Amino acid sequence: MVFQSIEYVLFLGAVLAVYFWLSAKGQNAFLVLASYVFYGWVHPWYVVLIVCVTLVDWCCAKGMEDSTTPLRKKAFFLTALTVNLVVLGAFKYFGFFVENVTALLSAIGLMPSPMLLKIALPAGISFFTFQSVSYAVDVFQGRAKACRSLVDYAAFVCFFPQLVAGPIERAAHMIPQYQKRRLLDFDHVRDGALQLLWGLFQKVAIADNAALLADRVFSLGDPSFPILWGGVIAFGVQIYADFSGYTAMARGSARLLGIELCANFRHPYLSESPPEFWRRWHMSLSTWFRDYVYIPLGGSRMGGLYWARNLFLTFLLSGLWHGAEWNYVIWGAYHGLLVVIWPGLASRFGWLTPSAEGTGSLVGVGRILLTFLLMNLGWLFFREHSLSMLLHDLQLNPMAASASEWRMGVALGVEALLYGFPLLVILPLLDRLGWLQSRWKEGSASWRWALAQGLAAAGCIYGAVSLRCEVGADFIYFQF
Amino acid sequence: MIVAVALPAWMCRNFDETEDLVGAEKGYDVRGTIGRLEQAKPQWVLIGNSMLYTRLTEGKLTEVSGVKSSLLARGRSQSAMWLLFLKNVLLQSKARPAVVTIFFRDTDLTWPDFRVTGGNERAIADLRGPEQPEWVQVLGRKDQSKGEPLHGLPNQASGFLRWLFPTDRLRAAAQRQIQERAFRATRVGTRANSSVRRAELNDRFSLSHLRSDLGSDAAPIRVGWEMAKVGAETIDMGFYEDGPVRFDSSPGASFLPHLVALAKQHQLQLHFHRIKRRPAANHSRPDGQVMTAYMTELSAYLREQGCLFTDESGDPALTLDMYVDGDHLSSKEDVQARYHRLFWERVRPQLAPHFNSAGGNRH
Repeated sequence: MVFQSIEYVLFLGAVLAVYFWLSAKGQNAFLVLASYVFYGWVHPWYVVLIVCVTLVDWCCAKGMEDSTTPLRKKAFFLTALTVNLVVLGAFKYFGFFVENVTALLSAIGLMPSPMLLKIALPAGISFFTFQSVSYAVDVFQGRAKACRSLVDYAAFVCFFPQLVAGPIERAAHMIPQYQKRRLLDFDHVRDGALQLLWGLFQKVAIADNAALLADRVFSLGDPSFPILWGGVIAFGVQIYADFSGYTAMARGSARLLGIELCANFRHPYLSESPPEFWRRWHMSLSTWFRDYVYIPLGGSRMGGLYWARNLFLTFLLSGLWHGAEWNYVIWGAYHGLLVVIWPGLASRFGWLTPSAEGTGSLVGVGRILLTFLLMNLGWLFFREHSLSMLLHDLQLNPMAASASEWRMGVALGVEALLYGFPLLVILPLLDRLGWLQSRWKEGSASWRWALAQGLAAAGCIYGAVSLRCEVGADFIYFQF
Repeated sequence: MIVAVALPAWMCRNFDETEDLVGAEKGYDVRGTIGRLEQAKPQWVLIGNSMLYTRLTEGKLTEVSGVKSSLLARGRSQSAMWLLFLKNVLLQSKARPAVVTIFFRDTDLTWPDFRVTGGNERAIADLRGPEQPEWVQVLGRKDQSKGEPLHGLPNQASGFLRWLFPTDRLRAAAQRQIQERAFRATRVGTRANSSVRRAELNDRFSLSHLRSDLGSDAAPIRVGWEMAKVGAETIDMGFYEDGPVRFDSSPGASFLPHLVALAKQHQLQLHFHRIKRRPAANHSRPDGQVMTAYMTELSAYLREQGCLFTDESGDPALTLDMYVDGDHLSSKEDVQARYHRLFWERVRPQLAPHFNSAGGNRH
């Protein structure tokens, strides 16, 4: 079931109609049931998978906490870790592994028989397994207590608004929310509904229209340099609006249910450097990799080369997390390289370091533009799945393109940016002016806040219906 | 709440409608088609989608083969709809052709849920009777028929939304305006107006510039400009590449066994014809190992069931220049004449005995 469908509206309405009448335990059990219906809507067997993973992790976490010996505790931890990684590996990476081994054996003259195995990738598997892994690690390291209630734990793993594409939550943030009864709160309803509408607008009016432009360019066999870059910028707008739209709808749905999900984006395209971009983009994944990969690898503790190695490996794995294809590995490596070399570049060229003059200065704008271009080069690796086409794209000569090609390419980029204007310009501006701050909600200004919310909701509905793309596509991050 | 709902609805209603750019889903005239078949009394009926109607025409095929032919073809139709063509159109008519040919592409026959929703939903609903046990068996709950409450409800809700926010024309115009602004921002060094720029852009993104490994039979979608069609086809092609990789002849897996059983029950001779998809520049499009294995199993199954099977996918005479977009053939006279001749030469050895025994008029 996708958020931007009538089915989801009816489903969410039905859940809300029952949910607030129940006790805390009843609410959690009902959430689990609703989440399984949501997840199994198209492929009911996916539910079996998530139930198994939930059961194993819950038992292992309890086992870890109840263990009397460190060895026993470690055994439970390794069991949980192995089950999650095997599930992820089997569904997501097995095909990639077989394909590459077959290609390698063929290259050295051996002709293995092809394995006719094509496993459907359950939606959101990377998200819920990562959430489960973080829980197992946190309980093992004593950062979180094992959840004693299976229902509460199941609600943490399968909570439908964030099940398919995050944000990747931590047990310490979510489980306490499940332990108390959620009450119907008009402020929550208003805020949640507005977030849902804002997310819908981002998806159907910005992302889908930008997708149409990007898909055209990436279906060309002979793109010129400017047309390719017009398409890359369109994809940059698409992926941000798509994922940010999904997150807004997830957070809005959760808020309606009285649950707070963490933020995932903070105006990433206003970053002044690649490292800053990663502190603003898909924050729940970035912090996950920081806490469960980068720091366990040693982080920056051993300095110099080790720091660079750890950072690079973390980004490489982050690339592979996005998909079992070489272009994602290249994408991860590219970003790893960027964040590793950036401090050196910044010390060599002082203007690359954000300074007191702030974003408003001309140099600050220059840094934002440079970072935007570097991120878009990354999106080329991310979007182009054919390695031969990628090589072709990287060899394109800007001087070889005609004036007409330049006009077309720039027009494509401008069109995509016009669609993205509310997300890329208006939202950060409102944020900077402090109009999104909670102080407006209180006291005598609260009626103004309600009116502003009404107007914003009207704007989102009007924008969504007047700009909705005829050709809707799935959320990009569903495939991960 | 009032502001959020009433304001957009009011703005949409006050929009000055200047252009009708959006096409509507079309239904299917079942009675009319049955009547047409009964009047024509064809000896040969061919069922398929745009793979069929961009390759063959009734008149030309009748002329080349000497066998009175009729096409039951609809763009973007797939195996689910082909079963309905056979069951609820052909078999409901008095026409009893000697051969029924089904035109298909690669794994179409065992991909039951491909294209059962979307643009053809209304046509499928028109074609279906109240009871279709094959649908329940094959598609299970994914079959969102009219009779099921969860299907009707979203349709009614979206109908109400369309009444509240009459937005189709507004949308097309708004998208065009955004494009106009993009053109205006990039008019440096050109005096060409927007129409010329749009034509230029359409030409640059025409299907002849597509990657050679992409192929599609997507029916044109009438949105603001031609380029939208390419986007839709790209998405469609992405889906198409995800077809089944294993042949499965069990009745719960696809509509193929039901097609075969229905034809046997009514003593119709079924013939399946696999088309050649858009070839590469060297005019060939070889099957990979997976597709070869699939086709071996499919052809063995069809022969075992007494069906005829022909495959043009390896035919070097079907060259790239014959294709106009994706997997569609050009409508040019010479291409059509060539294809009709090649097709008849290919199928004649297998089909001619059936036409002979049925008393058809042959060359």
